Amino acid sequence: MIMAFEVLKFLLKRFFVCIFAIFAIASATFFLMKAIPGSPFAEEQMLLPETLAALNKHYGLTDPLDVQYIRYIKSIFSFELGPSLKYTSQTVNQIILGAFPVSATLGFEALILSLPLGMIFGSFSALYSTGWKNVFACSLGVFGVSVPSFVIAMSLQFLFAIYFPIFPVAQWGNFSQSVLPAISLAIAPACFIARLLRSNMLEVLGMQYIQTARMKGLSKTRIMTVHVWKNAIIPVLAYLGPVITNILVGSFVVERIFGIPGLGQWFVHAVINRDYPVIGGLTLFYSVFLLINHTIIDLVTAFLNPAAKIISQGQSSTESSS
Amino acid sequence: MKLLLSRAVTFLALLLVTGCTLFNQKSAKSNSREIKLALSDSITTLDPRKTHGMASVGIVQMLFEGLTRVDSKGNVMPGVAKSIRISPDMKTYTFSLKEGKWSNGDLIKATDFEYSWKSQLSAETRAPASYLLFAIKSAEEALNGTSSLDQVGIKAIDDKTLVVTLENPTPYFLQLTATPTYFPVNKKLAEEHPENHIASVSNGPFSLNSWKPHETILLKKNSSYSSADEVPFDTVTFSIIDGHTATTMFKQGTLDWIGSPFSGINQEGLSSFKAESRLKTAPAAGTFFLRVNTETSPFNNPKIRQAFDLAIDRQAIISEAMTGEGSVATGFVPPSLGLSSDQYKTSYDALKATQLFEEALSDMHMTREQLLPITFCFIASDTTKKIAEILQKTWKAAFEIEIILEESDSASFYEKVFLKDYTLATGSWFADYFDPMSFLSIFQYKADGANDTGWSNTEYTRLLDASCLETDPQKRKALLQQAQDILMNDLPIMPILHFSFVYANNEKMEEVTLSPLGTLQ
Repeated sequence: MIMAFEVLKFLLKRFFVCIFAIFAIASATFFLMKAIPGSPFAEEQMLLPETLAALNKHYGLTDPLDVQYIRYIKSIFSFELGPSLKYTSQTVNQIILGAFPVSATLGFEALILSLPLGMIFGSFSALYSTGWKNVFACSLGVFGVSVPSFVIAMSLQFLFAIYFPIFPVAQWGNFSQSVLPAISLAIAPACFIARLLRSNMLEVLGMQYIQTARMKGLSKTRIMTVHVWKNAIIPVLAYLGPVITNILVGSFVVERIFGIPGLGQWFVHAVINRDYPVIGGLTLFYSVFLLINHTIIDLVTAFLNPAAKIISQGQSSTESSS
Repeated sequence: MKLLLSRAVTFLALLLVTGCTLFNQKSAKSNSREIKLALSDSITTLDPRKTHGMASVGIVQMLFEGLTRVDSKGNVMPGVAKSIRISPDMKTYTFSLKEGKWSNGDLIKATDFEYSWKSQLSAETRAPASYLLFAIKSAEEALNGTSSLDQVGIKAIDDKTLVVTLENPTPYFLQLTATPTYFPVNKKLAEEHPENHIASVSNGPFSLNSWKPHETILLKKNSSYSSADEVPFDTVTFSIIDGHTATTMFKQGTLDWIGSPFSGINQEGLSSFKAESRLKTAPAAGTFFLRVNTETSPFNNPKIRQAFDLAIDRQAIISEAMTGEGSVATGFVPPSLGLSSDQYKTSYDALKATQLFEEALSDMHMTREQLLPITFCFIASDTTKKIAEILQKTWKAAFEIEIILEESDSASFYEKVFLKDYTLATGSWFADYFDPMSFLSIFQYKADGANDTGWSNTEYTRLLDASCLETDPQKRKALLQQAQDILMNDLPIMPILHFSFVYANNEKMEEVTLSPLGTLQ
């Protein structure tokens, strides 16, 4: 009962913090995108003055900045993000509804690949922390974290789509088309998780309570699962928030290489085109997703480690995210 | 084309020639009638009234058909019009429409044309190329609100007859009627379901099956199209694919066409296709040039403009920055549009350039240092950056001055150029229609949408106005030639090169070629 009350209190407090964070992010995005030079309608053949005036008026770009700002904030809190300035037949809501499932499917595949991989690899390298196995594991981890995803993507494409034509080169639509991009997206977080888990496990393994457990004669498996793993995994969970958001919301480079119509593509094109409603809408979507993720991760962390003060943790992670 | 001259009217019977060549091939070489093309990410609309950019225009031309079509040499061929009657003063065109249906089975009516054209004259439609309609009587006045739409010279007399009255005898009017601006849209659909994609019902060789932004555009053969039997392909898929991946997919055979006018080919693709002799080129009616701000120092001095122009080694730019693709531009109008430009200059002359530069300095009583800083703006890309660096080096060698290079993304670049917040800037222009006016008209007036140089010349404007009234083709050509002479003498722009279309296709699309306007033929 006390636990449920604590959680409710935490969620309520977090809700208000999130509202404030969204407001701050939305305001910063609005003023930043208005500060970039360039017009969404500028082309080599400039539009006729009448047409340009009609366009600016239609999209409310002639209104004073404060009026535009209030309208934008209102649109955010009413979840009606308006029409795209460039893709005139689509609204930002439609764009998100269309592209997010694509990025999310790809991201989900990458996530279920990177999590177990990272954990197995991390535990393995922590248990064998000396000798050639250690050198091998460490080099692999560093390699995976430092090689950019586009290099991995293009190498995988060359190897498994051209040299050994097992998977399609690109495009989106069926499972086999998602394999290579999912692996490309999964490698960096998998290696990062592995490295994180390894250092945490080494730290935990050196703790006195582990030695006590050993002296008590507990089995190695029991020590690993109940004592080592449970404690070593908490920092990994904290890292999962931003990683899940990044992976699920889309990585532009990997989407571009494999011709995947996800959110990443929209993000970059919106900025290039100065498509203000799309920039604003997508930034907001990304932030909300990140905030919700953090909240869930904080809750899970609290359940795993009751010693952690849920409320103080909640505040610190929100601050870092915004 | 059959031309009948009578005392009262000029009668252009277009009955005898049929269809555009792309859709007129007797047989496609391969049995497969499905083709896949690479598309760069630039399609934001397929509404013919709002489309711009070569890739979107290319797709819209597969979906829609205007009153006329134009072949690769610029000859006018029939489209929806079966015959065209032109009044002796060449100011009234009466189009008789052939029996035809939209892809949803509706009859194509003259009112569909009237509706489409007139809707672009209302600023609310936000049509980017509505200026192309200004050849029609009172069209410009209607757009700026000084005349009503009823007074505009577009009238559907009955379902099959459209009468168009022009402001001036515009000898290239039948070229204009082949551009997307002059395409019809299904009036019923536009009025009853304005929320629907206007391209979902079309009257051309193909109809839109699906369109997923950033992914694919799928066209299917339009069985309602009058020459449907001659359309060589059943489906056309445009896949939005990155340069490297597109090259790989083309090599694997999953794409049948890569490159102009729908996408670019990356450096790796260019060199490997070239090595395998698979790279094809076709001259484009397009020019890459430098815009000069003639309103500010030092380029308000014509001698400085001439000196900078003379110093440019155009051939070096083509070989070093364009991998040899393109041809030296001595004039602004590409040769395929019929004007000659050999007389302007044949090669660069660094020595004379330096001389002119020194003269200009002493005329202005200025030192080199006082000229500076001169900035050169361009849109960030590998090619333009290379060109800018070559020019920077050339001008430094000729005039001992350091030009500052300023690269920006397209949205801020165009805004800067539009506001004339620049000294030197790059520019590129592709013909909308097969006539020198498509190029020369840009500089007809100071305030024209693509002028942006602050330059105007009363004699130049007079010559272009006169060319619109001139009905004799030879005399008209001479007037246009004189206009280009003035432009090349005054140099508000410095033409660098005429573009080439670069593409690779496989045997399925072997017989398809590209017209200078970028239309598949």
